[in-house]
Amino acid sequence: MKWLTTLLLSMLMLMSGCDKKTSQATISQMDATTKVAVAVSMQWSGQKGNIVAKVDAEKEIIAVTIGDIDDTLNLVALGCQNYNDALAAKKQLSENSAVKITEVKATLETLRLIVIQVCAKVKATDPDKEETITIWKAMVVEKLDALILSFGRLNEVVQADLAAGKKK
Amino acid sequence: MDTKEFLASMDLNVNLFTGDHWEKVGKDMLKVLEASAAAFVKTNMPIAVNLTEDEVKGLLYAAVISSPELPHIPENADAELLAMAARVCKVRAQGFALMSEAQKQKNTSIAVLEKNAKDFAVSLGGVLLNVALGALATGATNAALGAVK
Repeated sequence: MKWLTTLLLSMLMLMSGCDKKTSQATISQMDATTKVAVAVSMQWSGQKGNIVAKVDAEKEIIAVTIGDIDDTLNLVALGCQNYNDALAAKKQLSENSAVKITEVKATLETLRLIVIQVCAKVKATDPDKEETITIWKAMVVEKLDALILSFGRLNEVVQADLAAGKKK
Repeated sequence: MDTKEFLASMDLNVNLFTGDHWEKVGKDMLKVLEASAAAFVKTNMPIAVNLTEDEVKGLLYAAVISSPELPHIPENADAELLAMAARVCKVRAQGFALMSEAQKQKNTSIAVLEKNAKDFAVSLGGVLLNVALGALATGATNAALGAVK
């Protein structure tokens, strides 16, 4: 009886057609994007505790913003890892997932502008580490640019999959 | 278009955006919110007309969270605006992580169901094969017995 239910359920899900088949290009790009997302997240986390606002009056609010940037990057990396696992289990993405990928690309473009401006407003907590922090700031933006580029490519292949799915 | 004109064009109470909250948010962020929310509120006009201030703020917030594109953050933005924008990014990233988690669970469940279905088909095939072999064997035995008789 359990087997019969399983069979009927899986047949129903397959027949519903709510998910689109994902191309190999999307699967590969998701994997590449995940690696970059994890790298950016680690890069930011690496020094986020060693920076502080240059202006005393902004110390509190900048500290909160630094934390929110960290959370955002961690959540993006987590999301990418989940999608990677999802594609490994079954090579399908829902239309809602595709929409979210498009949204994250826009989010990262905005986050880049925030990161650049926040970086301009902070200095090293230890004055001897100022050079390290300057290099770190440049590397964060560099990796963030790579992530935006990777998400751009991911968005393109995901949209191509959706368009191909709709033609069928 | 300023805030009051924007709200008036939406047939909303022009006093909604006064008070401490909006003062704190700042004019720049308000522009960001308005730009993203305009289309959303327009398409939801029938339900937007009689909302409370908190509900309108919720709508605006939701519009920013779900907007495909986020408006440009101006250069030399103040720390408060950057903080607000970073929070919007964080909430949007939370949405991405939640959706990915749901997709992961769904795909894993489908994969398990399909594997179970495949196993079932294999075992059903095995049972049918056994039945067929049994029938063949019985037939052959009976034929052999018939021949002996």
